[in-house]
Amino acid sequence: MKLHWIEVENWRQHSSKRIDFNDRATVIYGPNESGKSTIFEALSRGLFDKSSSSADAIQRIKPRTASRNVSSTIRMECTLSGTRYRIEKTFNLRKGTLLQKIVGGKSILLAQHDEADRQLIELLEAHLPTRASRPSNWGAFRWLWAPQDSRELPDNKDGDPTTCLHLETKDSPVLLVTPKFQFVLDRTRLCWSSYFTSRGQLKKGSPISELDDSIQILRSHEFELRTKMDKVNGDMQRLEELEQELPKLETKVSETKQEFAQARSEVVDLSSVESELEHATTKVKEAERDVSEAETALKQLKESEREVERLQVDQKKARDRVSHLEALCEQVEKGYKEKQRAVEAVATQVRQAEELTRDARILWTAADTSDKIAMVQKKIKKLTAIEKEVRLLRQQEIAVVPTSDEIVKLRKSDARIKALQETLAEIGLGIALSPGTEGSLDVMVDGEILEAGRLSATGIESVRISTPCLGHVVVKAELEHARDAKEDIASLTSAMERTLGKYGASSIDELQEMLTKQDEISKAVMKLLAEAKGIDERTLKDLNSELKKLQRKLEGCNTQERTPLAAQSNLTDGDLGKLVNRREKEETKARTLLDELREQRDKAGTDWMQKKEELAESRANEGHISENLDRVRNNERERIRSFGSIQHQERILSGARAALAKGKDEFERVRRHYDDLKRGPVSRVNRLEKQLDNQELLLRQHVSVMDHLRGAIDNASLEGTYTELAETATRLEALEERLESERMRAESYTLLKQELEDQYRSALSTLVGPIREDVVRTLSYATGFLHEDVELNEYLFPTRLGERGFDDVLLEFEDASSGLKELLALCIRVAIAKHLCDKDPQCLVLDDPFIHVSTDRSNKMIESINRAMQEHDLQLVVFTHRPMEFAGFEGGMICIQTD
Amino acid sequence: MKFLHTSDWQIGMKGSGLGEAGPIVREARIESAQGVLSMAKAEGADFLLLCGDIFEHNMVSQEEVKKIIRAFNEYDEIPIFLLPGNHDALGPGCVYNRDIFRNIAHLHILDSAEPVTVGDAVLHPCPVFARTTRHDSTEGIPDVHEFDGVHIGVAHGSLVGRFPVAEWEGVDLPINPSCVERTGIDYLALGHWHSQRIFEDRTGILRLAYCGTHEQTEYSEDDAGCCLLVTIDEKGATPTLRPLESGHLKWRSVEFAMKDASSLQELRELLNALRGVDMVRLSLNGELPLSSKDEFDKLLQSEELKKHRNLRVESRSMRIVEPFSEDTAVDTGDPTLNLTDARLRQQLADEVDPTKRMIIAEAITRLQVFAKEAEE
Repeated sequence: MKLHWIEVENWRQHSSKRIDFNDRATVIYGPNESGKSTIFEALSRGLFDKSSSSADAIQRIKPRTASRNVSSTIRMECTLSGTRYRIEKTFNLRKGTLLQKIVGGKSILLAQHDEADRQLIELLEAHLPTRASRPSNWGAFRWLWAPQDSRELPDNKDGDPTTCLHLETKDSPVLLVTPKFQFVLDRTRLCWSSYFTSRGQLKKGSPISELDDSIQILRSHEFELRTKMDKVNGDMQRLEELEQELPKLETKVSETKQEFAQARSEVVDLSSVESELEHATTKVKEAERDVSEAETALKQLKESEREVERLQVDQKKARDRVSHLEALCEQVEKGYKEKQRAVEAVATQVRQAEELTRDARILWTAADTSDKIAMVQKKIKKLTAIEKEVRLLRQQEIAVVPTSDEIVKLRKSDARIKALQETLAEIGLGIALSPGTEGSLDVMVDGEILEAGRLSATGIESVRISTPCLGHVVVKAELEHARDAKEDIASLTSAMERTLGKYGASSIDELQEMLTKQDEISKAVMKLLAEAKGIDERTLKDLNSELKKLQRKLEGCNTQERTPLAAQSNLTDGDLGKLVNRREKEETKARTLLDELREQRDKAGTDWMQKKEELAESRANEGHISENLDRVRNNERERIRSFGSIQHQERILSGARAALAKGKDEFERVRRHYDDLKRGPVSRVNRLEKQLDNQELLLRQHVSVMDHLRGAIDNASLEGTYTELAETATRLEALEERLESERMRAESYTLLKQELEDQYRSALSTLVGPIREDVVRTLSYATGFLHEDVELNEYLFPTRLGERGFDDVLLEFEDASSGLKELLALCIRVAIAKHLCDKDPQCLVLDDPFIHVSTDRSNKMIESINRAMQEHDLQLVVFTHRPMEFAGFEGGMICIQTD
Repeated sequence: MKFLHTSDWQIGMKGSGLGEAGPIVREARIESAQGVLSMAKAEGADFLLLCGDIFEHNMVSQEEVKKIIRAFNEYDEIPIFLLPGNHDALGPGCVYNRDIFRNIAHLHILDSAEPVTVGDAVLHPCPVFARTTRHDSTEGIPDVHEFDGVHIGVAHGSLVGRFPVAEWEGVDLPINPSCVERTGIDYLALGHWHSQRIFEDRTGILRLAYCGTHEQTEYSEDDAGCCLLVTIDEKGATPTLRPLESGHLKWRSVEFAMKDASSLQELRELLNALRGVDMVRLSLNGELPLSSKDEFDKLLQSEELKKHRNLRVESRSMRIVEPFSEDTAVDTGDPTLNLTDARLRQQLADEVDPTKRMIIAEAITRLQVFAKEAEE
């Protein structure tokens, strides 16, 4: 394909742009974001995208400033296989495609819209995308066009990328891979791809995976059912075992019952021994009760004694406390009263200080107010004088004065009039009168009678001179210029007169005088006003008002009556300010002292109250203790009356203890006798009774488990699990048969595909050789013969490079530097382009291909490409922001911003 | 005294090895059961005798049980005597414990060895209580030489003793054929075997019989799909046994040997002859030439063959061969395709594993087919 031109409208930052491509190389340059890659994008979308697409990438074509959806259009002309085509595609708002053939300068419509997209893709041998196109859709162009975001060489992730290249060799008449072979290969791949992904993994949704999934589910279900059935079988087996054990258990129970009956009959009669034991137990209990009662009585007597002693001690302590508190109260009360007296004395001092301070303030205020009154009066006087002067000046002001501009304008008009008059004098009819001695002349100039005494005039149309008896002379003229001058003069004069009239002046000088005078008056007024502001910013009214206030204040001060103390202590001569300060300090000092004394007094008062409360409390406490003591003493007397004295009760306790010891001995003796009898036959009977209970319980549990199992088995039978299992097994069998069949089919496709692809690659290898050699030549030259060997895989992807000096070691392509990778990729693209050019001229389109490549290598690369362009009719389009690097290409350079 | 002897209905059976025909066979068994009841009525049988394995398992679905009960109830004028077999053995979980079997007046479950009088006849049931047992259940039949009436033993198991064991299932559920002479019964109605077999007693009279399953269950059975109409006029009389066909599905198992390309025509004729057979098992052996594989595949996928209810083709014993010579080399019209074809044929020649051979043969066939499509 060869590109001729491209036009875009409303395409991102391009509202309208046309680029004409050079037949050889076109370098399109501009700074970042100038729209170079946008043009590349437009090229690819114009060729490979459907105009009906609504993919996001397509919608983003519209200019960012467009507020609503707009149509983005690309037009281009190119030549494919010897035929020139014009393509026009519009996206977004108005979608559509036009495909036209250009023959003899005329365009012939081939197709429109979807059909046009389809035909175009067919011509390009590419693939229609489902959404927005990507390089993988571009067919062979993915090798020739390298946009910025897809700079790597194609790989085989999305299938063999070399299938889009023409595989015929130009030297051999035999096709290496015929359409028939391709058909068979494609068909095989299609069938294979219904089973496997592109990576050879089993495909989800393929017949095998679906069958597999179904089988897994069924197997899982079958397992569950079998487990269920196994459980039932287990239950049945268990039931059988339990049924076999049941008779044995029943036999054991029966035997135990017999043994128990026999043992019971052998038991000795223990009732008499039991009776004796009971009597002994009773006696022991009675003795214990006596002991307990004696102990209780003794305990109570001793308690009472101790209680009385304790309360006596407490009573003494309480009394001592009361005495102590009474003495303390008296002392605290005395202290409080002293404080109170001191407070009263200082309070009197404070009152006196306040009085003196107040008096001093009044004196100072009066003096200060008088000063202020004088000052205000002075200001008032000055301001009044200024006001009067200002009033006089304002009376002299001129109400309406012209502006400087008006006066200038008038002067100009006047000058103009004079000039016009001179001109008129030159070009008009000049009339000069010389009055004679007799008679008179009536002169009419332009229809107007000349005033008497006027000796000269200038006419423009006619002059009529007449005398009463001699007739008249009329001179006419057509003096256009003079008319114009006269009209201008009249107009200007009229305007001047209007202006002068407005201000009541008769001349310009008079106007000037008016203006000057008014200026002077204004300045004088401003000056006086500034002076007034300097004296006081307030108005006279405000000042008078303040004066009245001050006078009232002074009057107020003067009417205050002074106390004798104040009159005596505060002297009016001297510094009243200092007097006020002194009195204030004295007052403050007295107040401080008063506050301190009050605080001490209050504290003493609180203390006194506390002590009084404590005293009352102690007295109450003493009263309680005395009452308790009386009560406890009464209690003690009662107990002694009931139990006797402590000594008496101790004697009773001693006797009771002796009786208890004796009773216990007797009890022990009887009990030993009873135990001996019991160990024998009675023990056996008890054991057998327990054993029988246990065995009957086991039997019941056994029967219960059997019933439970029967119920579970019956319920399980009702669920119909076997039927479900049978149906599942049948379905499983059918699916497994189908699966085997599908697996065989899939394997046969795999085998066939592998064989066909092996053949394909073998055929391709005859082509890869020449391409590889071309790549080696170009790379070798560009790198200064540093890399003279390259390995390409069957997809024309580089795997390793050789390096001079490292004959046995190859550099893995992945380990190469970015610059080397970029360079090698470009060599491969150029080699493929040259190969494809054998069939039809091709166009390499590259976006900044030398980003990582050094200048020396890029220059050599440019030489190689130039050669390729000459020898193979190869076209090149480069987008870059560094035009100087690409200046070596033979062709044109276009600045995207200006062209 | 006339009764219809049937057994081994195996209602709810899996149908192993039948693939997608499993459900067909299961449904057919229920239809045939209805047919048996209808036949009993048509033949004027006094009662219907079911000798075990009426259900394939005690845990069959209630739905299937209901279908059989419905069939029983449709013919409630015919008394039905049902002996549980080893598949539907008595005991916990037995299908006959379900409530649905209660209150069916004309159905009698023979769940004990107590003799049951039916008109002039007496039935001596030998019920089975387990899936497997080494106990001969007919030992419980009493000596009835001195008792009037026609005495019929009802049992489920394998006859042992005089008869060759090699042909039979084994010695599980053994039944001693001499019980006829020992007890003096007039007829021993047996179940457990699916093919119909009738045996003589020591006096040469046909008194012991397996009626066979009422509907064939698998390809290897013969004389299945039938029941026996038994007539015994009086005690000691020779029983008259008339087989009645009750099976709905027709089964056929055939073998065919492939020799060469001409065998395909013979195979076609054979398949034509099998039209109308519901269940067909075709076992292929011999050698199929590779060149005939496509035609062979088409033959087996023809619409005509889809009319069979089930067609199982077993071809593992059949070998696909490719005699390697220039005459048999196929020219696809494309040298690269020819190369590929030749490589695959070489692989076929070198491969011995039958499965892998099938895969290679299939690959070659696909290649040929696609090449032909490319021409079209």
